[in-house]
Parts: sequence; structure tokens; C-alpha cells
Amino acid sequence: MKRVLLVEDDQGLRELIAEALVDDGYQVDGAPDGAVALELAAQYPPDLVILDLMMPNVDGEAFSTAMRQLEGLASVPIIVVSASRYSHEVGIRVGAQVALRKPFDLNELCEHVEQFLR
Amino acid sequence: MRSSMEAERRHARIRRLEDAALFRLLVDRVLDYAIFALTPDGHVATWNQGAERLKGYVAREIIGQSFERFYTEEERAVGRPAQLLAAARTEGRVEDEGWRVRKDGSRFWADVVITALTDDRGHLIGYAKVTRDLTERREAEHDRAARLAAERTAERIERLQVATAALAAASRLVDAAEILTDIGMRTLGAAAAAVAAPTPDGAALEVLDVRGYERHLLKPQQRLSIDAPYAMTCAWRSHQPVFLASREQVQAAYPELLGVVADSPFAAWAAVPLRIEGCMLGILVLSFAEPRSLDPDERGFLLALGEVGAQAIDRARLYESEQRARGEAEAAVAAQDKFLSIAAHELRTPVAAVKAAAQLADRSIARGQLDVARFTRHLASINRSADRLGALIEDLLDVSRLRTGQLRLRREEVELGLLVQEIVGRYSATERGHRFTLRAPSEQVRVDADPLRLEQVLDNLLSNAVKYSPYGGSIEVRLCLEAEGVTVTVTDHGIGLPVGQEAGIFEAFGRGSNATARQIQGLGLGLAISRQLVEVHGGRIWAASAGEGQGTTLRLWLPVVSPGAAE
Repeated sequence: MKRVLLVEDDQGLRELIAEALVDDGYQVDGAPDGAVALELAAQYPPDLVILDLMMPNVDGEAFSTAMRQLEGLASVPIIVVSASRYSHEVGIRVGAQVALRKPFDLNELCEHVEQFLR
Repeated sequence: MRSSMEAERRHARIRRLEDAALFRLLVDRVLDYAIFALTPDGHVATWNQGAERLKGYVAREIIGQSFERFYTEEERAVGRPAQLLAAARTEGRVEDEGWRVRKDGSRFWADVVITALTDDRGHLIGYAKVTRDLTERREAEHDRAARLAAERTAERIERLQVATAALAAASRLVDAAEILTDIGMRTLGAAAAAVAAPTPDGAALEVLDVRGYERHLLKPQQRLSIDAPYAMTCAWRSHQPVFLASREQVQAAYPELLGVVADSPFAAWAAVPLRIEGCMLGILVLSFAEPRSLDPDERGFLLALGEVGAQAIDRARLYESEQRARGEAEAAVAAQDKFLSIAAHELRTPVAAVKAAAQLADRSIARGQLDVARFTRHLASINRSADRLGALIEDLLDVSRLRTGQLRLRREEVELGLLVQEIVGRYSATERGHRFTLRAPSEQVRVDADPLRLEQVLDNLLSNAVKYSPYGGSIEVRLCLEAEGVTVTVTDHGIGLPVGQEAGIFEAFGRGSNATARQIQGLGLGLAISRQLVEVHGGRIWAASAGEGQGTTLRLWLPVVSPGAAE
């Protein structure tokens, strides 16, 4: 089963996205910030990361830089999901393949995930 | 041999010239000087051709006449001719310069030498008078003086033009002041100069530019009370220029300035108002190293400089206030932009949650997985997010209304003790299990406030205490009545505040760094709103914490309605 690491500080939204992904048949690890996400990534190497950018402690950008240093995770695809008007620019900077802006289309997100993990 | 014959002939010629008749002929032929003799009582005795040419009389008309007619009426009236003769008699010789009158009544400027003539025994036998016409030379001197004066005036006008042009380009007050001191000093050769303008309250003159003064006497930004004894303040109070040509003049005209003048290394002063259309905008003061009496031209220059200086100061002030207003407007727009961008950003996440929940429910239906329990959960999620959005929008609107002063208060007399008791009761009943203690005075505490807004503030203080302290923690609420106000203190034993962050949490979107690090939800608007609400009620709100993990105390002070006014 493919593994998705979901990094999002809003708990309600995190649970909703996770539910959709589980429905689609993925294993989902949820993290409320970059620090927790890094621990999870090291322990359970993800096949894809869904990443919010503005989070407490370790933010999305710092997380992606650190994660790429982890063994086997240098080229894990990242989908950025952010409220920032600069989500696209920052997405490119963190090496994301896709950047979505909140509020986003859940079906569109799931389609992107499917494309990467099919 | 030949040379001795020549010497013989020369001596014979000299002897012939020594002959009295010949000498008379010589005097007679001199045309450039009037040379004539006077009797001891001042009557003309001889007359040469020079005298005839100079004064217009022929010998037979004038011989035997009194020499007084050569003098002007004014001089005759004061006995000047007799005085000169008397002086020549006692001194042997007198020299004089002045106007003399020709036969036709016209005047010429004469240089006169009168020599007393005495015989071998020293008896006065008359006077020799030699007169030279100096009119042309005098006119030439006058012309030169006039030319010099004209040149000086032209130079001043040019300086004034230079000053006007430079002042027109000065957009800052200090620039205009600098040009004024510079031009004033250079044009009049002053040793020091300064420009001062009134402070906004009009109680003092503030030095805008200064040069040449020792710092202990006068320095930039120094403020002189308008009642203080200075040339500058004298001119300011009287709206008139003050010219002090010397210390003696200070003593005579402005004795109150003597104390200041005594300490001054200068010897003369000039202070002129910078005035435009009767409105006093400042003072230009010049100090001179030597006693200095300014002529009307120089005074005129200073007054004109004061006028163009006032125009420049007026313009610079206008420009500066425009700049300030523009800066403030730009800052307000920037703040509004930042606020809108943060607000929009914060609204996006709950909207995303609403949308995701709805789409999730849609997907379930589409996939035929409709399960009531799941559906109920999605609806609850939508509900929560919508509530959060509503509260968020309300907070954002409050911040915006408070910022623009559009918040309307419905003030009435509120019994604060009851209100606090009610809110504490409400919080005690929640599931988080905090233990509240309330201490309040037995008497009523009445404040003049909008009850809904006051409740919002108190609610915010308590919700902060609950939010940032552990489940079951104790929270103390205390009301303290003071002379003119009441303090509400809410103390928790929670995460506290990092040192130095006590003020920042009352700014819009400001939160303790430990709160964001712990991912405690919140936007940082509640306390910012509370602070502004308290301030529009004439109160204060502040926070104290011994540091992270040491708990937080929030304090609110409000004025109370005095018992007299309440009854």
C-alpha cells in the first residue's frame, strides 16, 4: 500500500483530506507541523507528501529541505496545499510538482495523488 | 669765466623778481587761487585775477567791502566769518573747508587758508586769504561714495535674489533656516547667526539653524522660552526688529538684556521677524564681533530677507506637513493591505475545510458508500468550520471598525461585579474542568460601558486563561476597587509568556511565540480587540508573566462611576 505523508496544521482539514485518501486506498500519516512530519518521514518513508507551507515550528520550506536529505527521499513528489498567495512560487522553490491554493478541490487533489502513485 | 657771467645775469633776474611790484604782478596773474588781503576788521584790501575768476567780482567792486559776503547766510548768522578771523589772529593761521558764495549767488565748495599778517613788532596789519575751489573734487568724491553705495545696494539686491532662489528650492524647514543664516551672515559681515521658529504650543522659540555661536550659548534644537530675555524673543514679542548697535545701546534701550549680553562675546546684535502677511513665523538673529550700527539700507535688506525667509518657511512647513500626511496615509494603506492579506489568508483554511467536507460527502454518495454516521460527521465538520468562519469574520470586522473609529458603543451603567460573576459561572460549567476562584468587594462596582462589549472583553480574558493553561488548572479572578477605578485581574498557571512579549500580544495578529509553537489555535485578534475596546472605554489593559511556564496575569482597569454621580 502506497504511503502519503499529510502535513497540515489545521486538524479538521487534515482529518478530511486523510479520510478521502484512505477511501482511495492509501496509507496516510498525518502531521500537524514540519517537526513531527520529519520524524514520521524518517520512520515511515512516504511515497508522496502533501504539504502546507505556513506552519508553526518547522515550516513547509524548512521541512522539504530537511526531508530531501533523508535517505531515499531526495525525489519524493510533493503537492503543496497552502493559503498563501505565493503558494505557487514557494512550491517551485521546495521542488513541488503541484501547488494548490486553499480552498482547493478535493477531487483535483485526489487525482494528482493518483497520477503520482498509480 | 663764462659760467660766472651767467650766474651774474641770473642773480640780476632774481633781484628783478624780488621787486615788490613784480611780486604783486605774480600774485595777480595766478588764476587757480583767489589770493587777497583783508584789513584787520575784515575788509577786502587787494584782489587778484584768480579771485575775480572764482568769486565773480572785479577789483573795484569788492575792494573796501566786508569779506563776510563770501559766506553763506547760515554761516554769517552764526558769526562764522568773525570766528575764523579771530582764530587766525590767535593761531596765526586757520584752515577751513565749506560752502562760499559767488557774486551771482551760486555756491562753490572752498578750501580756505587765512593767515594773519603782522609787522616787525608783531602788530596785526591784516590777513592774507587764499581760497581754492574744490567743488569738482568734492563732487567726484560724492560720486565715488554714491557709486560705492549703489554697488553695495546692487550687491545686496543680488544676494537677496540669490537667497530668494535658494529659498524657493528649500523644501525642508532646516534647509530654509540654513540659507537664511548663511546669507544674513555673509551679506552683513556678522560673526554669528541663527534662525528660530515657534514650537507648536507657541511657548518657546526652537533654534532651527545656528552658526558661529559657542554651543553653551546657542545650539540646534535649543528652546528659548518666549519670555526669556534675548534679542530674538524681544523681536518675537514685539513683532518688531531689534537693532542693538552696541552694549551701551542695550543698556539704554533693553536693560533686561544686560544679563545675557554680559556673557556674550559679541558687541552688536540684530533680530528681525520672519513675517508673512502679518503672521510671525520665526526670527533671524545676527551677532557682530564689533559695535555695529546698521544703516537704513542694511536694515532694509534684513527686513526684506526676513520676508522672503518667512515665505520659504511657510512653504517648507506646508511641504513637510503634506509629506507627513502622505506618509501617514501610505502607512495606513499598507497596514490595511497587510490586514486584508492576513485576514484573507486566515479565512482560506476554514473555507477549505467546508469545501473538503462537502466534497467528501459528495464522493461518498457517488461511490454508493452513503453511511449515516459518516455523513453526520461531515456535516458536523461543516458546521464547526462555518462557526469558526463566522467568529473570525466578526473579529476581523471588530478590528477594522476599531481601527477606523466606526465602532458605536451603547453605554449604560453596568454592575461589573455581577457581570464578572456571571461569566466566571459560565466558564466553571465547561468540560475543561478549570477551577475558578472569584474575589470581589461586597459593594457594587458600577462602570459606564457598553455591556455587550464589556462582556466580550471579560470573556476574552477568561478564554485566554482557559486556553493557555492545562485542563483542571486553577484560575483566579479578582476585582479590586480603587479611588477612581476598578482593576480586574485574571491569573492562570499556564504556559506563560516569553520575556518581553507582554505588549506584543495586544497587537493585531500578535501571539506569544510559545502559543504558536504549541499549535494552540488562534489568530491573535482577541486581545487586540479587547485592548481597543478597553481604550475606547477610557481604560487600560496589560499583561504580566514571570516567563514561559510561569502562568500569565491579565489586568484590566476601568474608571468607575463615582457614587455621587450614580445617585
